[in-house]
Amino acid sequence: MFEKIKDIVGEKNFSDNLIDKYIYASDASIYQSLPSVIVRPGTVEEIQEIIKYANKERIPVIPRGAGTGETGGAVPVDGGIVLDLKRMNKIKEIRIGDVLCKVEPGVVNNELNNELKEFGFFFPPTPGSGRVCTIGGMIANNASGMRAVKYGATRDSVLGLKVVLPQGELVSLGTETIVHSSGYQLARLMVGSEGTLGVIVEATLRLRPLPEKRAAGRAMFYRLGDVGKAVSAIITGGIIPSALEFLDNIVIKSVNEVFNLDLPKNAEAIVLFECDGNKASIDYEINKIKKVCQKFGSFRIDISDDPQEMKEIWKIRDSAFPATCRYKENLVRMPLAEDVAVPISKVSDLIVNLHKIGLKNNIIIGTYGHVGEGLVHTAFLINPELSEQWEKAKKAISEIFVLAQNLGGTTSGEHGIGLSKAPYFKKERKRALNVMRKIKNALDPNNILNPHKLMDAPDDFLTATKIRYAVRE
Amino acid sequence: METKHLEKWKKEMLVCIKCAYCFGDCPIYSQLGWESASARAKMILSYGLLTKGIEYTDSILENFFQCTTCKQCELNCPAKVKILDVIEAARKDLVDNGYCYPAHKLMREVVEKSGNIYGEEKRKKESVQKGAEYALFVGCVGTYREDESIKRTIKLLKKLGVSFTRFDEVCCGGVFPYVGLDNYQKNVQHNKEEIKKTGAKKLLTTCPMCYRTFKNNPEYSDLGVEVVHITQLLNKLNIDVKTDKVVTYHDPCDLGRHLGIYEEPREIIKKFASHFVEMDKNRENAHCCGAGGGVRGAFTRLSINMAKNRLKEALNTKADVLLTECPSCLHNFKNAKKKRQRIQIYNISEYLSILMDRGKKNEDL
Repeated sequence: MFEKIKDIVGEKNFSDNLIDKYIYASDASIYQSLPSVIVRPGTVEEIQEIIKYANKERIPVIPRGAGTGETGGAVPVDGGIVLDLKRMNKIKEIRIGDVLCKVEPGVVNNELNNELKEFGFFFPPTPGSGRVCTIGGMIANNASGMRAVKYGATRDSVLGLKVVLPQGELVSLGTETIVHSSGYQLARLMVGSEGTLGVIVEATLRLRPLPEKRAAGRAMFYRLGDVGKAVSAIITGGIIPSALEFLDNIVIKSVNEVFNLDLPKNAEAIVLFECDGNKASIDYEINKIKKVCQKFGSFRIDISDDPQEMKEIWKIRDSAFPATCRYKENLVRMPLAEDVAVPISKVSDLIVNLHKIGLKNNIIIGTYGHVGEGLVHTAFLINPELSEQWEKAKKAISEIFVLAQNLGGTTSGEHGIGLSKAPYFKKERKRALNVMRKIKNALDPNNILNPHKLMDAPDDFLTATKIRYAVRE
Repeated sequence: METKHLEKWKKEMLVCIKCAYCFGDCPIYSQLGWESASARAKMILSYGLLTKGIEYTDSILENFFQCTTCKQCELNCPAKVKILDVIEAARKDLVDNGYCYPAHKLMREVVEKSGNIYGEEKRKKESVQKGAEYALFVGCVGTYREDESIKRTIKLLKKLGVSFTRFDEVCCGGVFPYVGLDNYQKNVQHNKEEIKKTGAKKLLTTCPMCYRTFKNNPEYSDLGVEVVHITQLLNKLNIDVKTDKVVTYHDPCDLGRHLGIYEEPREIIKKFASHFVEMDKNRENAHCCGAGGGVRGAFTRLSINMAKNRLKEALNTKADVLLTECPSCLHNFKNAKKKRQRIQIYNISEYLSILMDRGKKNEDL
């Protein structure tokens, strides 16, 4: 059955080896489900041929970038063909005169930015996985990151796309212009579609000029509740920082313990901020943020525009991830409910109540994230080999999503839905599910592209596929 | 498959959050392109073996031994997972279960018979110069594959008036733990006794792997001498030669990422080369030459391809000379170099010796 596929990409770019299948069975999520084969196409034509054959034979096709997704978006629920797109990694064009570039889907975010730096420009989305994640994956998930507060998410930087549709047809969507009102915004439809509507084979991206300089600061608060209020006041106060982050006391404690940093133990939260632009604008903005933080009770504020000192300021944010991974000997961090987002005015309610949910369910949930976008990361610390821990986590997760939705928020701010958030996404978007299914059915009548994801994912996220941990009672 | 070694590192496998940061700059992943070649894959497979989620196949053996242990993945890892400890544990478990790479097995056998990893007959028994400050340990690659380079190094040491003695050395065994094998204890004892006999207070090594072994391997913890790498010694000496050639430097993984020695080699080079250029990837980000972790023995073509890549990076700097200070890196680069590539490749000490022989400023080099 797969001999034809092997012929298309050549033996070197085809694998049905068990070890390869075992590895491509997971991404950065909790899931594990083996594909039938993995292929690494090198051209658009190869992708078209693969898709046409898969459509004829009704074989699922799962497009995959670097496999950094935390929701199971690249996990092949029903087996089938994993389409590893990392070989297609050419930057095809950089047209500074038109402030755009054209790239293949396998180009790595940071590598693109390294190239653009020479021209004094950048591609703004900065996901945490930027060192390895691919532009194709970023578009498919509408990734963002800490600078989205000023520059928006990936969708705001996508001008046009070339996409292979589920029956093999190659289409051009969008334009090369900064604006267009020429019909359906189909490029945007593909952004965030998580590989269910088409395979992105080329992207035209909008670029931004690199700022002249940056300055950063950190403000420490005794009370967690004050953080949300300060953040709302900053965002509504007429300035747009280039980053506005926070970390809670659990994260502060873990960073202190794991990396021997000397952050105040009595701080319930730290707000980190960054402004970019020219000296005058930065001075104005930083000063304004400082005043707001003081007004809402910050007891210590450090500010710097020295690159080395700025590095120190950001160190705590960079350390948040590894520190929470090692906070307690028998607990590790799980990617669960990790990126709810709410309207800015509700950030305070979200943060405070997330902690209540943790306490109520007797589970450690560290919180931090891009609070300037209303987005909070939840670091669930559990022993993933104990089933009772999963049950506890599941209950807390459910409560988190109810909380976010009650605050007018959304299930996922930047990581996507995949499998792990689908049950809650379906509740949030219940009035949109029908139209989503109609679109899916119109483009992919045989349901070959990344089936069982988003609105078609199973209702129990814990049994959507095998969990990749050896769970015991 | 029994996994008693992996059991100790379970927490590390669980802490790995599969972020894929380890893809970046992994020399094996860069060559093969399949995610299965990455450190993340090795963490997934280790946990799979440990929890019986996957059974042994020959592909698993190949997978775990396709790693140069260059440590770039550990540097990239945001969760600071001890990736190399997990890989070494997996290799030990594989070997304990009877799955050993033939090239490594053979290497272990010939070391037992001949005292070196190539199974070569001992060149000559070195006589000990009593009262020397340093006992010089050259290592297998230097002695049997890069002997011309080592001769130059020795000449340099003499010219610089370094008080040293050779001794009857045998393989330090540094490579064995990294390929899942036990060291040959008779060799360890032999080296310890011979070093003691010299009466030297310091052990001078030319090979970074040997340096790392004598310095950090518990088997040598009672050595009782200070272990010094040749770059540390040369950096303290007065070097009175110059070259106008454009020179670049490759950081050996054992010296750089594993031991943090980045500056000494550069300081030496800058003393004699006014045109020093860095490769894009340098110091802790220097790409591996592909020789380490038992890869050269088991996957020669893959190893040479990695060296070719690194060599290309050196050529991109437009340097005339590529310097390093590791017999293994040197050997791999020489094997990878095409005749039409005009770059010259030397160990720093070797190059200095040549410069000294040809006068203070020599345009032919």
